[in-house]
Amino acid sequence: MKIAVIGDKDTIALFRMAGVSECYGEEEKFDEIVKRDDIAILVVSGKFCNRLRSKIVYHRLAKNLPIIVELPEKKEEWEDTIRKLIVRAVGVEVE
Amino acid sequence: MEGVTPTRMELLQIRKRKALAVKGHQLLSEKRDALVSSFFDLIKKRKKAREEMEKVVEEAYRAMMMAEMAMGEERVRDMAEKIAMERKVEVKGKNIMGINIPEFHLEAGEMPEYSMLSTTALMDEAVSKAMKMLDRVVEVASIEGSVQMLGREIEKTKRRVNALEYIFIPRLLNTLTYIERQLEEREREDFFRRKRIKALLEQHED
Repeated sequence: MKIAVIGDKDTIALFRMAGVSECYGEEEKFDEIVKRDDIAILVVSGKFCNRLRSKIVYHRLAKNLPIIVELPEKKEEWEDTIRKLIVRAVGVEVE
Repeated sequence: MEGVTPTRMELLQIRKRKALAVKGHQLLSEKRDALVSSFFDLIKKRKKAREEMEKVVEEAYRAMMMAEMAMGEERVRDMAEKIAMERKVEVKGKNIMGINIPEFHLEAGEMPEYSMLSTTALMDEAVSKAMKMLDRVVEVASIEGSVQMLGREIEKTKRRVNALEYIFIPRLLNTLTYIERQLEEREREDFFRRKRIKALLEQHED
């Protein structure tokens, strides 16, 4: 299976060097990629983390693959969706 | 209490169901506790892996920038665009306490070939850093995938435990007491009736 990336130009160049060919620069591609069954991991980077947040949260609760890895640019402005899931599961904030 | 016939048969059956429900509740809450404890371990692992990944991503970015400074941004982007290497991931399912958890293995991948003449060592450096970065990203994906699956399972188990504890078992207990009371009442009625008939019969004989 393959890895896919949604990110800005810099991120795409970087992941291309690493050997990822499924690189996209538009957030609209998210739905399409998530539906495909040859993608195992989807990397969402930078500003797209925030833009796609609600979709990512929903995906995490409802579906198995692809697993989404968020790669935020500025950590301060990023709301960790995995942390949200943790709070849902155990009811407390875990550091 | 609609739908309940207060008979001895029903009483026995509901007692059996209650025993089963209590047993199920115990098993499920044990499962929940086990899941939560492994969940916490996983969260710690995730934090470490993420920190590691962030560091490596940072390094890879910097290496790419260095290459861009040496060769010009456009050339580097062009080269990146032309790299035909594709690293695949192998997905294996791992089973932890009945939950299917995906585990990813990234193909090693070889250094891509590009013209030595038009690139510098900095480009090689950037590519090798980027490839290392992808290893870390896949590792984080494995761990976060487990966190995601385990979290969902915990939520489900918790809901089941609570449903048994606060709805199903109390309801059965209610039904049980209702039937017991009905049976007792019937017995008292019977007893009284017998006494009454006996008294009537005695009166008759006199």
